Amino acid sequence: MKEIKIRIESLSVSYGTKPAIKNISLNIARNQVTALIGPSGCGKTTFLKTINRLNDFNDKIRISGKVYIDDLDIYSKNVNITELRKKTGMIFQKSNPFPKSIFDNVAYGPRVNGVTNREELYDIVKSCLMKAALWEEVENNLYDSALKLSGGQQQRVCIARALAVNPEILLMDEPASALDPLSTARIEELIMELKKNYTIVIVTHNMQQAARVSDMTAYLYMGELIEFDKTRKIFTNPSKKQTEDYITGRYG
Amino acid sequence: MSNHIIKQFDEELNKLRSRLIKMGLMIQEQIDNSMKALIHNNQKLALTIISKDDKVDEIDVKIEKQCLKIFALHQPVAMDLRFVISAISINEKMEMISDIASNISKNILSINLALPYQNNTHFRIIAEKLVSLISKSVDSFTFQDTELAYEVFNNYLELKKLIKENYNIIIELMKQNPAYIESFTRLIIINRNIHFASNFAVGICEEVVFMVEAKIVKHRLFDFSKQDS
Amino acid sequence: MLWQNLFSEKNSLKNFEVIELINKFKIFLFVFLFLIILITFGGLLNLIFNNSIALIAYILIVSIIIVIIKKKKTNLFHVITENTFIILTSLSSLVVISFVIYILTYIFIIGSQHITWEFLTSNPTEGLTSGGIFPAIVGTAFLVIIMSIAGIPVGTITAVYITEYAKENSLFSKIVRFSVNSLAGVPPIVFGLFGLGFFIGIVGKQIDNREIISKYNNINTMFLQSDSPFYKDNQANPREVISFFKSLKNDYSFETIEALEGLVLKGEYKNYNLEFYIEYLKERERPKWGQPALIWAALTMALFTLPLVIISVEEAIKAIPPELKEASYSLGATKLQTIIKVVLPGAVNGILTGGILAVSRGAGEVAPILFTGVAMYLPDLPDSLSSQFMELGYHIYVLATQSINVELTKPIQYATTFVLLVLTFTLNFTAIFIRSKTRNKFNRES
Repeated sequence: MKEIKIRIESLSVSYGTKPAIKNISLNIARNQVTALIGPSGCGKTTFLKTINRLNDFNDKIRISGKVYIDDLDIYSKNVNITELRKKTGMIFQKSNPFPKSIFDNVAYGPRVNGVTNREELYDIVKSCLMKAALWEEVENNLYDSALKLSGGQQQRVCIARALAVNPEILLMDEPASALDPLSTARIEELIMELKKNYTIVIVTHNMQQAARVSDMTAYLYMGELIEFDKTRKIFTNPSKKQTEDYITGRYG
Repeated sequence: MSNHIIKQFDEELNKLRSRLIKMGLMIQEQIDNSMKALIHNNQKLALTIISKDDKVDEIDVKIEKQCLKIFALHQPVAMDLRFVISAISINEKMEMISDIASNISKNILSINLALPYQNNTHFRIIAEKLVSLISKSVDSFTFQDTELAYEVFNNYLELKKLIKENYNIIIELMKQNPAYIESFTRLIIINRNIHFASNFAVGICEEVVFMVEAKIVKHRLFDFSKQDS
Repeated sequence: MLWQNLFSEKNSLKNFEVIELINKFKIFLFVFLFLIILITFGGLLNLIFNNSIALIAYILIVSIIIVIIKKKKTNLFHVITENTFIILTSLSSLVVISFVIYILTYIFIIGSQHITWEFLTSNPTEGLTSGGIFPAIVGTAFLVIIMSIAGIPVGTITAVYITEYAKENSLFSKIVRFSVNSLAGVPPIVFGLFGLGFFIGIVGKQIDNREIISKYNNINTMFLQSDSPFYKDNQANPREVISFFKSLKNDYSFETIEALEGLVLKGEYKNYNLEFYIEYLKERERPKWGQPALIWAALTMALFTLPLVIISVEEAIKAIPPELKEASYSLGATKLQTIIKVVLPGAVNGILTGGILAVSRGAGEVAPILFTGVAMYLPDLPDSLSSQFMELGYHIYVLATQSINVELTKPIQYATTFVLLVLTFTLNFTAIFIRSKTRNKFNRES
């Protein structure tokens, strides 16, 4: 039984009066890939942003319930938010590298956290780009703008960038939805590699991707957790009819 | 059960289902006729059974192609996945049953018409039971009825006993009537084939249980001891 | 026709129409240019406006031109009815454009004749009727530089505050936005009066008062020095006193010194004591900061152009995709770090644009500096923040209204206008250029 990295208890999130997440309880295990599937607008992205507290920037957000990372309540008063955000790296749906060089993109995290030594930064950038399976493609043009890369490469720059601050958790919001099949396959392969050392939560619309890549799958519908189980079980014999209807394409 | 959003997927699955049901009816008929031919020693009937086997083979190929198509184009999951995988297996087993019916018929043709075995009532009972078994297993698929499937498991055991007894009876008869040794050998072969057919019927029911309940009951419900005849 | 053969589907008729429209536009562009030249330099405008027949003839001619260019076998009536509206509106825009072109061309042609290197680098002479405009150029430059140093940082920080820190729709940000918009609509002369009343009348005066207080502590001691005539307590001879007063001439006006010397010559100076002289001098103290000065004019201008800067920067900040800020936060950066490393670099083009637009307005507006620092003629270049200065826009006004010889100053006027226009245009086009270059900074992805 894998140990639990993120524990979510009775989490409810609403934007003003509109509820986005209704009373979800979920345990995310360490060094595993947990996929969140469900139709659009059912709260998956909100859920991710609750874990790294990016929701804090939205004034209208109301949160109740608890989120524990390593048994620490991340919404308690004495939590260092920047530390929390370093621990939980996020990869966004549309790759969003800064309009800076590849090097500066990956080095951004370490730089804002105080690393200034040129050599140290170079080592970090190199190792992260290697972890993101991008080093060989960019090692000779590290100082070119990151925006000149292809979509798949840009996304891998974003992954390297997130890895540079040594997170323990990676939150991925449809990381491959804007990519062609080959780039998608590379990203999926990367995820399988990364899960050895990181806890990964991935939101995806693509059920086959969830099936290929994840160990556990959670099905969310309209902000509610319908079913959460081993991926293998969900895709061969889910317990709830609602889940089955969704994954077999009968939903609607 | 609601429909798939992609209608074509629904259509494909329905086509598959109806083809299998059709095939089930065909093999049911084949077995039915083969048992009739056996009991009444009806060589004409036996010939028609043999010729009809081609049709079954045709539909077998169609079903297999269709399953492949569904896998490739629609990536079924959960219940749909189980259905299509079972369909392949059931298809195979049904084809084997039809094959057996054809085989039994071929053996009937080689039996001497003068063979004194009409007193053997075992064959009559066995024939009835086999027909009922096959029909139940086909029905359990047609109606996705696992109750029927479990009944078949039980009926199988009864039939097995009868077949074993029948074997002994035939051996006795063989000893008493050595002149007809070839024909009696044919009967032994037929006896065995009936046994095989019942095995496949059970196989179909196992697949039905898997399809409906997602339980894999192969090799677990009871011991499948191989009989030496 | 070939087009109809290529597009045989129903909804590609739309494509067909669009292409038609584009072609029509191109045609009008050519007609425009041709007619602009005609109208501007040919007096055609006069003819058309005075004569309705000419107006109809104009429509006919344009229609015929369209038919000829398009080589389409449609009937003329059809073309006319369809295009009358377009033609009439094109006429009005032609009128406007040609006015502008006329004025600009006139100024450019006449003004550029008098531009020489000497003109740009020498001082005006003989009561502004000849010579160059160098001090005006320098003054404008100083004004604009100090204005930018004062205005751009403040504007940028305000814009950053409004967009990043203030809560959406909070009362405070609403007040700030309202103030910015109101400021943008205030007439420039009001800024000038504000500068006069506040910067000069209050701030400058305060500074001066403080300096006077400290200076007069020193003067007290200076008067009581051993070499001061007052030291000898009315025993000094008149010559010593006069030379003492003369030594103060740099700090006081000519008239003051003369009056003091007069007192000595009249023999009356002994009638007054030390306090009297100190008070006398104090009253005649030349204000240094409490008078029109470069710094006050620059600050007034900064205030005047502040809304421009704020709005430009705000726009640029809002154009930054929020995903970039989210990415920065998710890497553990604080709000300040995100602003410095992501927001400001991304808003640089807005800052530049706002700054350049502010500068171009600052170089052109005269009203705010009218009372706050500009002078008609100065022999020297401004050497400190408290000096007055000359300025291009004001110089044009002066040449036009205070000239002693209109014939001589007219060419200088045109030339100065030309210089100012070139300056303003260059600045504006640079701003547009920069804006277009950096507009798609965030969208250059493959």
